[in-house]
Amino acid sequence: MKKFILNGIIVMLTAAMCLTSCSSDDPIPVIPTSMVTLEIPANLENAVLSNAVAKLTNVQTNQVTTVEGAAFLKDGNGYKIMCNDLEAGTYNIVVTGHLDFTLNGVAGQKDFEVTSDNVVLSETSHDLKMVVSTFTAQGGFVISEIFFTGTMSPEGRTYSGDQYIIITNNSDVTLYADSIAVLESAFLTTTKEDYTPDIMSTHFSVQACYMIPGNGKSVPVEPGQSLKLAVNAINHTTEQPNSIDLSNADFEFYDETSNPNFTDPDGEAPNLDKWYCYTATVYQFHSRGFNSMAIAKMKTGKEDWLENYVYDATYLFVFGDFSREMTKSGIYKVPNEWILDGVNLSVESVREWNVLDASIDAGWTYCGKVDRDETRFNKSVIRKQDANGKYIDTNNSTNDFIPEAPASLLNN
Amino acid sequence: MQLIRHIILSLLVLVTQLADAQALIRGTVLDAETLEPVIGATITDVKQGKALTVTQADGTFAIPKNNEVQLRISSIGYKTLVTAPTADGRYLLHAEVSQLGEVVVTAQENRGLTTSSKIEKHAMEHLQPSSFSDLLELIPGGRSIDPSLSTPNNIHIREISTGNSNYATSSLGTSFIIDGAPISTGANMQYLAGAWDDMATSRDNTNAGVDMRGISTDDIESVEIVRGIPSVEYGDLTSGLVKIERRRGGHDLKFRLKADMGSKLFYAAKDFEWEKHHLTLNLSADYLDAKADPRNRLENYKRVTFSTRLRKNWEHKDYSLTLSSNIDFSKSLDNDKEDIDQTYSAEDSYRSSYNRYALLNALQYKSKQNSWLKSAELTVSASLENDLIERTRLVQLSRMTVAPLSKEEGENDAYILPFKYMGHHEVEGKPVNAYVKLNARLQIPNNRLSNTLLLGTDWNLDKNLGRGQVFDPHTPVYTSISSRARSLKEIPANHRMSAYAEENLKWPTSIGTLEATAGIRGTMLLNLDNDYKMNGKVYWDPRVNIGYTLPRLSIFGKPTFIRIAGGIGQHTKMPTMEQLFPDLLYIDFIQLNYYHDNPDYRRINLMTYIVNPRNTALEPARNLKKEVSIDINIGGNRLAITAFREKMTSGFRMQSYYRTFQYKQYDASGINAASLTGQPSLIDLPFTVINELAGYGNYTNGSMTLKEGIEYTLETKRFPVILTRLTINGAYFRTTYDNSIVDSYRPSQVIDNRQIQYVGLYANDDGSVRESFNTNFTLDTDVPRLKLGFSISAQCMWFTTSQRKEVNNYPVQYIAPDGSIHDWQESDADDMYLRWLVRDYTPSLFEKNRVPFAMNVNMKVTKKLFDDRLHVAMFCNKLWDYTPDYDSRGTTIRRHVTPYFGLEMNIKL
Repeated sequence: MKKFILNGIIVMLTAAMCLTSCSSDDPIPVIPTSMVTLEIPANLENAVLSNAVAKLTNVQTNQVTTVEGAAFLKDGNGYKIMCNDLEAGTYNIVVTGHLDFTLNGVAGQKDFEVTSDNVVLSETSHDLKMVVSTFTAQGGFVISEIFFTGTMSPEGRTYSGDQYIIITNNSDVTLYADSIAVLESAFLTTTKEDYTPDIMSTHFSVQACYMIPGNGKSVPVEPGQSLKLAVNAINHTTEQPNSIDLSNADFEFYDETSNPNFTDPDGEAPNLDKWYCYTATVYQFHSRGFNSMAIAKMKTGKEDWLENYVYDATYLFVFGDFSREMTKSGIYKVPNEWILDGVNLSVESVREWNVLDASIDAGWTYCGKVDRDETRFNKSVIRKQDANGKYIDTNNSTNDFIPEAPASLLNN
Repeated sequence: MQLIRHIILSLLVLVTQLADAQALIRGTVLDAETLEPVIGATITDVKQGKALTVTQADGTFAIPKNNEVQLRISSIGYKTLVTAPTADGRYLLHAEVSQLGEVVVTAQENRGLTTSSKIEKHAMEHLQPSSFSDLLELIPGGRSIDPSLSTPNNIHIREISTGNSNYATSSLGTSFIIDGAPISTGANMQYLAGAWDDMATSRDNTNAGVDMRGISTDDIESVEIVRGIPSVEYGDLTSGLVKIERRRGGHDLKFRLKADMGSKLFYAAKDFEWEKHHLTLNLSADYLDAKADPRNRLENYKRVTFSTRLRKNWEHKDYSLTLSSNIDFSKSLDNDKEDIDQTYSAEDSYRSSYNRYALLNALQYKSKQNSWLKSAELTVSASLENDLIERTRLVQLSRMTVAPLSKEEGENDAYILPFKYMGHHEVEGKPVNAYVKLNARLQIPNNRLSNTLLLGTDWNLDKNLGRGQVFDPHTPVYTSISSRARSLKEIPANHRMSAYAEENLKWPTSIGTLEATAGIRGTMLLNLDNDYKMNGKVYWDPRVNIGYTLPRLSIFGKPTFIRIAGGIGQHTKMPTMEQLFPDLLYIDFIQLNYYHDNPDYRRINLMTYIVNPRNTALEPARNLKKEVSIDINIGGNRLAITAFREKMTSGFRMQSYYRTFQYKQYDASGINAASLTGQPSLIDLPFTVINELAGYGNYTNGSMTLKEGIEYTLETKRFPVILTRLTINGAYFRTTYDNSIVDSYRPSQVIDNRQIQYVGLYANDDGSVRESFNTNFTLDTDVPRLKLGFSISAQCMWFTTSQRKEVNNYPVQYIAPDGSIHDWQESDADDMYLRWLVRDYTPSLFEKNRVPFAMNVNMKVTKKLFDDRLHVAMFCNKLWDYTPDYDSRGTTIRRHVTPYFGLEMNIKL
């Protein structure tokens, strides 16, 4: 900081000296071409600048030069703004614009404004670099809460229709949640098998894939904002007073069926696109938390994924006096690179392994310390936040999550 | 009917026939110890060395009067008697190997042609059973099993059961006959429709035969368990016959008190006998209280039985008449309740009560004259049951659930169930059974061979007067129920009519004795609709047993008798009422699923189809038994070995079928929730017509059960000094189950918002082969001086194996949503949807699983005190065991055995 201030003073002194050295009587030279280089954060991919305007205000004359559109030339990850025939002098420069980009594969957007004051442009010093530093575009969507335990009725019956998962935009840019899918692991964290082939280091094996529908930019999520995805997006409290009103959920895991035994109430919230599910009955999360969950940006179309992202595994099953070579055919998989966030869920007394690669989640979290723990109801796993309210994501849910936290949407 | 008329006519003719009345000497040959008739004894004129005649089935003979004749009466197994004839004399033959005073505490192989085990009173006293199930330990292949009285007990003769209800024909096809009256289970409809919970399904005994828990053993004098080919007198069975004879007469007042680790039993009986009036009366009652777990009072089984048995005998010069009359009542109660501390709801309960009132009257006529008609018997029995299952459950739904109400086919709105309600479901069954049997035994006089011709007919009626499934569709316990309430009275009565004829021969010759039983039984169902394949069809069961006994031999100086026997017989079991007239199935499809915050605006519209799963092509289950046996008796040490093969290819099975149904799928996305003032109207809603495959179950004859094996029993004489007798029995069984009908399967995966729309058809699914080989070594010691009985039984299971029949992962064909059937192509395995029809079985699943040697040692002691008035007994099963760990594909399997013990007290006053 000190150095910064020192540099500032030097710049200001230099500027003052310049001003004093320049006589107002001298004819003002015109710089044929000045170039402002606009640097944007390096982690943005496919950045597209729009509505870009650069305003150069001559401090002495108050003359304003506005540069737009065609003058912005894409250069590598940044832009070059070309200004012609500027009078040499001291300028205040403001560049505003709108950036569309992809961040870790997720579409995002951000308006920005960068300023640079008292910039001296002369025939010898006519280029300058400006950096879009108003946002860092760090982070992205995270799973901020999973409520999988359900609630308990006053009579002691379990109720699981009120399960939900919350995903939050943990970055400082607006991100689009379209084509982000909620994935449930095909394997249980409580049953370890040596599957052949073992693809865990490259892929996540899933038994359910429900995707947020949209045209690519239908579901913007502001920085710090969340989406509530409810198993049933209805007001559960009318039927089960201890439950939750989820009628305002953003999306719903709706299971369309013609079988009246598996009627799924279709709340107001838009339905997730059910790409694949292992069962034709109503879908719900494992209420003891035996499956890991993840969110992924689906980078291919439904047809292609359904056709090509499926494999068969074999393993040795041992139970009591029974040990057999088994086949588990038809396991869908999602490449680990597509995964934005993942959480291993398990129960301490019966846990055997993690089913997400350690690069996605090196730890695990839980509700209930023993199997069928009756105290687990009404509890969630919730991601911790730092002092600024940002969710902590170190890819280790043991550290990042608060286990057995009161469900955030319950009136505790 | 023509047949029956013929039989009755010929009966009448024979009754009126009498043998010509020339001067004859009559006599009866009896066993000196048992006073039972000796059949087929040869009567020879000593002087002339000429065989005169043989004794008949009642031990009688008649020879021309000749005062000088000396008779030699001989029969295999008896010491020959030489005597002078006397008028109407009784000739007592002494067995070569005396069984006098012998206390037998094991089952004994029957000496007749039919392969069967006979269990007498002594054996039961020693075994200390709680219900009939416990007796099965004694038959070859049996082992002591801890009583499990919280679920029905079914009988499995010559079989290693899998418990799969698709192979229950074997237990359904075992007939239980008590004092001549069969226990009918043909109209048993006691199942909770739609049940998925263990509480209810584990107690479902429909189509599985007699629940042996309900049969009390205390009144039983003797039981004969026919494993082989029974007489054609007994029908409507495939696999076996259990004949129970209960005690008649006596003067005792008896009490029995038994307690073991799971149950308590109390029994009281009073026997009356008025010898002068030839009248007996037996009264008895018993009470059994069993718990699945002694610590849990909420799950239990209770049984109460009362029995009154009267017998009156009229002796006349020419005949005797016996009337037997029984009145029986038995009640049993299965109770299961959830623990209130665990569920917060005291209302969760299952209760199944069974009340059976039975009446039997049997009139027996025995001729004392030398007529062709030797005996005739009329049995009339009737039973009425009042059965009730009550299931109550606090239902708390986890999501909006609907109850289809419509009893009509077509479009209708479903009722949306409240989220919390008290569900109540009853099943009321009132099976009524009536049974009439008329038998006659005739003898055609013949001096060469002893013969009996048995002719008879029976008629059986089963009807159920109960209300069946009774529940309010607005508060169902089982929300996924696919049937609607139906009164069982609507189901037509099952009438079964049979007639039979059987010839019994015994032909003593100098090169041995030939015995044969050959008969045929015809059975048909009446009161069936014309479209049933069985309508008007007679099913014939020919059965033959033949035996040849070698002439007396001498081995180690001991009299030796060897008999070789064989038999072949067909057995037919008619389908039950439930199999013939299953509940209609209601298949509902959701056309509109509209949810609104306001419950009044919600609407679920259904298309309902009604499928009648009645299979008119259903036929009876038929079992063809073949067996050969050898019976060697050396000085009273007896070895009996039977090899058998029973093949039943038409066992009953629930098979699933798929069919295409059409319904409208309404698109509710256009409905504006805010502007609704009531349920959305269907009139303007856009829809698409969808074809959907839906499955339903249907009874077929697709189950094959093949039973093969060898049964053996070795009984020694009681060794003197140590007063101990050794019995070695056991069996090697190999049971093959198979399904001859194509099985269908629809994967449940959802691909792109819709369940996979294809159904795979797979050939010969669901088969398995099981083997077991066991030997029980029983040493029983009887010390009369100390009134002490003691037995140790080492029950060895040499091995058991099980192996699933290899099935193909690939379907042979598949059904597309439009109902069209396509052959499976190799390339289909890569299709996005069809790939799911390929199943996951791996070759290792079809490997043979073998469990090696295990042995349990059981001990039983009985002691008589106070002049035999008090009789105390105790047993400890699995007191010691040898069950080594073994290796199964790299995994060490440890086995654990827990002892089971009990004791009892019998008081006789």
